Amino acid sequence: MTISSRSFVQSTTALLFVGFLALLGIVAMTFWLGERSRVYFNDVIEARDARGAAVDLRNAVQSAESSQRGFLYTGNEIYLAPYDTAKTLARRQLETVNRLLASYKGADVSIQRLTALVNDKLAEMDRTIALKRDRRDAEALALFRTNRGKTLMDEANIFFSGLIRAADDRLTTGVGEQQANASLLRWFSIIGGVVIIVVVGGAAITVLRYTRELAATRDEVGLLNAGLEERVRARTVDLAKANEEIQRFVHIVSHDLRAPLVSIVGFTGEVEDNMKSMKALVDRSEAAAGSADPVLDEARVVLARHMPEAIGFIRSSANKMDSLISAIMKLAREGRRALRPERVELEDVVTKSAAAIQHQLSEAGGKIDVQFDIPTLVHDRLALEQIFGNLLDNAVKYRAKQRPLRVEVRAGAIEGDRIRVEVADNGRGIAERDRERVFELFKRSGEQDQPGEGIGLAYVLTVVRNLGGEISMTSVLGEGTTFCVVLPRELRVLLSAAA
Amino acid sequence: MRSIRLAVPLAAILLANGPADSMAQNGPPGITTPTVFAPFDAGAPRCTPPADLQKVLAFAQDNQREFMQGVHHGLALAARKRGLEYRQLLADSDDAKQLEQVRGLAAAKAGGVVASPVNAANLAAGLQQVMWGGGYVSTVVAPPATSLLNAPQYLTGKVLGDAAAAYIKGRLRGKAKVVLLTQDSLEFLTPRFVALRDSLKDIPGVNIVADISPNPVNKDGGFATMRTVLLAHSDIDVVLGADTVVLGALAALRAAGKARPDQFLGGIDGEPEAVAEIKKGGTPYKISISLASPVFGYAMGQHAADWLEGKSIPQAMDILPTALTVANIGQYEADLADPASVYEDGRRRNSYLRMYGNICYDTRDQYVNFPWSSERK
Repeated sequence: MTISSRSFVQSTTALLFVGFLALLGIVAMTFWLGERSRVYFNDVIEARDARGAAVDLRNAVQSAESSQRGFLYTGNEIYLAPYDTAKTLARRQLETVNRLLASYKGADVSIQRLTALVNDKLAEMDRTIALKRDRRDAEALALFRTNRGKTLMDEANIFFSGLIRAADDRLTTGVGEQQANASLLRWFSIIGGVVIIVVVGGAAITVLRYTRELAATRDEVGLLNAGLEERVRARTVDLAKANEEIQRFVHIVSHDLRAPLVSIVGFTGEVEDNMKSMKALVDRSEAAAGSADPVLDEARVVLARHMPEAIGFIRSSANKMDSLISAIMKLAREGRRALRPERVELEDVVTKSAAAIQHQLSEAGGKIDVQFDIPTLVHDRLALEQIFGNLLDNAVKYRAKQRPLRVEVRAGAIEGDRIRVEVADNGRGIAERDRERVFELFKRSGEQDQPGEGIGLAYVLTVVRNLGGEISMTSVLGEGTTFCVVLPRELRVLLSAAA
Repeated sequence: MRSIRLAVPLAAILLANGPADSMAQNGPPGITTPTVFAPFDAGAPRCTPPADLQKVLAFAQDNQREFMQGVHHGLALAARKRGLEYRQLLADSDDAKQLEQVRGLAAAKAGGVVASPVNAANLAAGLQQVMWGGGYVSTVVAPPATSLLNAPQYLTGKVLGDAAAAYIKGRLRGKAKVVLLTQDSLEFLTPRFVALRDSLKDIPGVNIVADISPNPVNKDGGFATMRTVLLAHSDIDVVLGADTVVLGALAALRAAGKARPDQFLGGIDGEPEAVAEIKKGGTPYKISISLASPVFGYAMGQHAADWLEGKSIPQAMDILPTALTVANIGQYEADLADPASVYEDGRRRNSYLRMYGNICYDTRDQYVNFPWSSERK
């Protein structure tokens, strides 16, 4: 299945969009997970601190209790050495626990109860120690045997374990969340990476396929071009040969036609000379006869009127045919003429052409306006002079007699390194029915009040095409005609292409 | 059914525990130093039967607690079975009255006396009079006695602890927050809780979040203690202790909305309310450890008759704890109602009773006069 340019662009765009989304998703997920990690990390730190404080509090109370029991059992003050320190530490850690857990929902009741228990426990220990120091051992022992100290410690232990367990749960949850985050990030990255790989792979495959197809197409086009160029070259050669043959044929035909025509004209003179001899003979015969002879009179009429008239027709027809043959030969010669590119200022060409018809232009009260905005051309000067000379000559010849002639020549550059020249007149114009044939050979239109053979525009068309250009015409009958000539700016390009 | 409560009666007895006062004696002091008895030999040689004693079996009963009523039930059945005249003497928790009742029995030459002492120390003299007169004396826990009955506290706790451990491993996947409701006021019960801790200590996932003695040791105390525990620990999986306090804990769990069918609440004593919870099924209360007082009462009656016939009887006897669960409670109730069939079936009897030492009329000076326990190290 081949890939069209449109589907290639669409699929590549879609793949890039998916890849972008995947990348965006990875970035967003990374950011979100990072934020979550920060929150959980803070929670873990708080839980760790709360746990540490609870453990330290429990250890401090237990240390104080050990001191108390050692002193109660032995009465030795050395057991009380860590007692005050333990109590101080217990109270400090109790404050820490209160501070760390103050914001936790539901912890306030536990903290209040634990605070009361620790304070009661410390007070109970203080009381027994005081009794022992006062040597009131029995009272101290009795107080001890109430088990109140144990009961307080047992209950405090419930809260110690509760705090530690809650902190452990928070630590476990925090670590679990961090692991889940890492796992989530890993999976998302893997999935995103796979998506990106798939997208890149898909895009690469699409590009590869498209590139291969382009290369194949290029090769195919190359092959076709090579064949086409070869065929064009062959056809061009064939056409050139055919053209040469046609031109040679035209030349030969024209030459061959002219030869009998010369004979006809020559023999017409011979006939005319003979006719003069015959007339002299008739005159001598009539003088010899001395009287009117009807036969001689009829011969005299033929020789004096009918024969000169016939000879005149023959000569005018021969002249007409000669001019036609000359026109054909002119066209043929133009077709065979070698073009010579040179730097040409078109304005000079037009000015020169205008000067050539200045006399007729003056007689017509005409005026030529020139408006040029083109660079220097590289062209065949003679061909250009023939084109614009003919067009200007036509403008003068076919002017409208009821108004002064106005001719505008406008030239400008157009795309494709070409120029466009317009020759517009306010002449008699061309009827619509004649417009298609004005460029045909020997065709004339409109009033035939000017001498001509109908080869001017045909010649112009031939020359323009030889230069690689086009000529077109617009006209309004009675208002004027505009010829538009489009030519390459440099004839050399055309010639090198043709070569 | 008859509920069997042992902790409190045994506690009351043991508070006044100790050898009988030798200064006031008119006969041998018995065995006063802790002694380990060999297992009872049922094939021991016969002795001379007491000649001048009445075939009377009397129960000097401290009060009409259900546990002691079970003893009374067993004794009555055995006396009827063996053709003894049975007398139930209620002391109404009056130790002096009880002493008078026992002295009266000694004076009347009663052949057998079973006592649940109101005050063991006070009653010892009266019981010794019976023994010195050749009569059979059996007491519930406290010496002196010809044949002394005790309950193995460690084993009792171990049965409960092992059941809890099995449940934790099986149903709770080895992880549990455990509350131990102890009884600091009765030191002799300490082995129960040692056994509970021993059963749980090797399960890594067990976390004993509370090890505390409710005060008072009753349902209200259990309720208050559990409420305190719930302040610090929102989720509790296992609660162990005496039935009364565990029932209080259950009430606290329910009040807090923290009771779950998969919890394991287990108690000791076979309290009727605990048994009712177990029989419901699907409640947190899964087990109660009970001591079958009709069974050992029946055995005591049989031993009294054997004594009067000159047979050798055990010097001491353990009433073994039975774990009541929804699965076995029907059979257990049937056994309590008909202890005779249990006694006559050796296998079933051995599941309730374990007997130690031998004594008969001819060796009656070797009566037990120390706080015996089969678990004493």
